[in-house]
Amino acid sequence: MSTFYSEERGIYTRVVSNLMYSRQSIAAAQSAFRAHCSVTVRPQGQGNVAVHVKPLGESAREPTQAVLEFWNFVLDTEAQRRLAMS
Amino acid sequence: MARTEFHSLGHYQGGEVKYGLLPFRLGRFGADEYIISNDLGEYAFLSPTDLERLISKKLDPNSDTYLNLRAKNFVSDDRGSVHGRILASRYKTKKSFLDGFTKLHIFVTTLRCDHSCPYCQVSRQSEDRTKYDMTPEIARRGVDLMLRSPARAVTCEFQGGESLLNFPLLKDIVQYATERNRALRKAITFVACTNLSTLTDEHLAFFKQHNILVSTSLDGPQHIHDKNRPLSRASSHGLFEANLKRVQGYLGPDRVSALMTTTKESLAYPDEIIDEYLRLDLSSIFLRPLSPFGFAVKTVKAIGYDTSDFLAFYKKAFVRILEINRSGRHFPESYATLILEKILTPFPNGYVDLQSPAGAGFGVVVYNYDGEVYASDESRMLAEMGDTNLRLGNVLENSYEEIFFGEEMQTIAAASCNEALPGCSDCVYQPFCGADPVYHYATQGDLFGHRPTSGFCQRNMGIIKYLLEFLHSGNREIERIFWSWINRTPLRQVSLPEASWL
Repeated sequence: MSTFYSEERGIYTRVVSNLMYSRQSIAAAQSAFRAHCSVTVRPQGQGNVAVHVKPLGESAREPTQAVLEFWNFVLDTEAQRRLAMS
Repeated sequence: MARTEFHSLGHYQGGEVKYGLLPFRLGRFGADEYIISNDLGEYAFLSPTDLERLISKKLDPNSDTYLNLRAKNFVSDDRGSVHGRILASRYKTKKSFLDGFTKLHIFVTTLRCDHSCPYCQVSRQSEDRTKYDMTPEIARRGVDLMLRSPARAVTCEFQGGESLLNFPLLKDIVQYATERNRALRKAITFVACTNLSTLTDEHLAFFKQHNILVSTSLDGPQHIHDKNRPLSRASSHGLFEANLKRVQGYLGPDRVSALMTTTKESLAYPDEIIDEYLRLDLSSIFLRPLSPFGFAVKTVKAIGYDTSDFLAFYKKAFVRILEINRSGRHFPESYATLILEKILTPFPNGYVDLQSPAGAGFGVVVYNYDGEVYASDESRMLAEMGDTNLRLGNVLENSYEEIFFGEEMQTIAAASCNEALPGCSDCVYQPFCGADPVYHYATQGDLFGHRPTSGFCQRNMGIIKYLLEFLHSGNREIERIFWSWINRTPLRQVSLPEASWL
């Protein structure tokens, strides 16, 4: 339910489905990483969103690490949200 | 004439890509296909040719099959340096139900009950025998233990017998837990399991005041329900229906759910059972088999059946449930939803019977009316039948550490991981299944169990395969229905991506 990552000019893009990752979880990560990454989310239709992550400042020195941590945060948040519902 | 020979595509893409295999399990799927799965819960269907190519590392690294297997973490190559960290993150997520340790705390407020169900798991006592009631001292000590749990959110569930027959204690537990929790600030969900036959306005007001959920039982239309759940003074179904409406009206329809138990009587009526749930405005159904515990062991000849009979019943009912969902009514089958969540998402769920490590002790603990503590409801049933081997301790005699990390808990834990159980460790369906050492102890006399003769294994494998067949069929409408169940959203709001990576 997610596409591969792509990277262009320091912006890491991943298209994911809201079926898997809720808007709340992506928004929570966006807020939590405000100081480390610039994150923009664009709807792609059919419940998909493109998430563009651009590591900033110190994080830009190890961009892959920052992007992985961002998505790890989304994964954790979504897991906890679903566990709370079940 | 000179011979023209073209280079492979890989030649222009930076040379040969070497790949390695990551751990996976495999099994046959149908007559001419294989299914493979890994610890992250990813799966793929492969032809025998592609399987052979995969294993002999001859898959074309630019083929769709290869890229799909790479995306699902079945192979790893030198095109990415972060693979290991992604795997770790995914695996941690799959096991995140362990975070916070025991979350479901069951209080058996009394063994008294007004029903005499032949399949009852509990050694019920008649309504006047108050010596089978939990005392406030035991209850409060149980609450203290519950609040020692590291979990930020815990569920406090009241069971019996019939839990409402000891309503003063239920109230005391809720008030004491709420008071003690003011400083701890955990999220506590209270659930009252009740047959609804003795429901009063006082109960309803208290439930509303404290936001208590109601879990009840409905086995189907009147002729099935009354046969399964006999009540001497009236029709159990009649009382149930009247009081269910009161609960739905007073608390809201989303505050009450029902469980059904399948007996031999139920097998011929899958459609009628489902229609009864719809008629009574229940929002889902959980098709449950008989449990081999308690009274059900003594009555198995009268009300029992083979696993194959249950699976046939389940499949008939499931087809009817899909029809209902197609027509636009959101009506999930709860067990399938739990399994589908494991198949289709990277996330775990909180259902203790489908976890590895098993839920016994790790996810659930039971405080019996007499203060004895068990790792699951089923362990308590065994104790009522005279086998106290799975008793973890006593709330008045043992500390939190002695109960949750003692020898008995460790014995259960040793048989709790299906990744390491014989017959499960190499089963392709293992990531979607669970472990149930207490079930195997009860039915086979061995916590580890013997998988080829295990009803737990046959039932789960049957249902998991059945669901995978639907997914493999490529039927997008059914896939949308499954996602609507997983995400608890109406079907009309579910939009599948064009290219599915399932």
